Amino acid sequence: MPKLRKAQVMILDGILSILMAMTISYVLFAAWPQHRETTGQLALERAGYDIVNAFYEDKEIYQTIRKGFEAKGYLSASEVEYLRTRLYNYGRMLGVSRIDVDIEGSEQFSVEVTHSTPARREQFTLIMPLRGGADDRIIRVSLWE
Amino acid sequence: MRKGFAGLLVLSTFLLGFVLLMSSGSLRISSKGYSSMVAAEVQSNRLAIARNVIKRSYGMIDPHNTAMWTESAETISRNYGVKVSINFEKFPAEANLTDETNGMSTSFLLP
Repeated sequence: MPKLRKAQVMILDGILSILMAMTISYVLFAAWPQHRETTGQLALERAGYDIVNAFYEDKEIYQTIRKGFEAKGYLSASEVEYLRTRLYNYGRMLGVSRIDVDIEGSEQFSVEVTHSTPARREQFTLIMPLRGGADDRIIRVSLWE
Repeated sequence: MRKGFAGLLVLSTFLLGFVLLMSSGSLRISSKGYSSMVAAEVQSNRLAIARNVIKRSYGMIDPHNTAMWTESAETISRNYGVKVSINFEKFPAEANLTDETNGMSTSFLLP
């Protein structure tokens, strides 16, 4: 019985030492392990900035949309397919799983970049002026993580 | 021996309580701080995107189509949670984007 008590005291002493070490560490260095969230949301936001830029800077994307709407008033199947290919490369580069594009006056289309299940979506909007601004099209681009 | 044991038990209970209290408070504060930092970062990024869209699209329009473009600029700004005001009386025209929720704003000249 006395041996058991001695063991209990030793165990308690050990626990006490650990707690004291944790307390001292916390008080002196504030080094308590902290939970960190992932920065996935920010990554999607930054990807949004780049994809919006792509519609203005990538001449192929811009010219395809401009020619389609200015010449025919709509985007043909081959033009949509071409846009899909261009956007697929951006999607791959930016690490998104899917891109949904909704151009005013045209059917919405999607680009599957990876086969993973899309988890979260952020939508970005841009203005695509046609005919020198006489016909502005609002484009909604949704990026899926 | 028995007194020492009881003393250690009481002391360790108090210390455990103190550690748990401090850690839970610290986690709450750090988590809250981190979330608000992310929200501010997101909103700042949205403000930058709206500014970029407004500047780039304005550069593609003819001067006599500014009225229609202004409507579009207001629509997209609403989508980004910001308010736009454009002063065409100045040359070059000046745009101002304001995020009233977070108190952020940016002013810039249109090309």
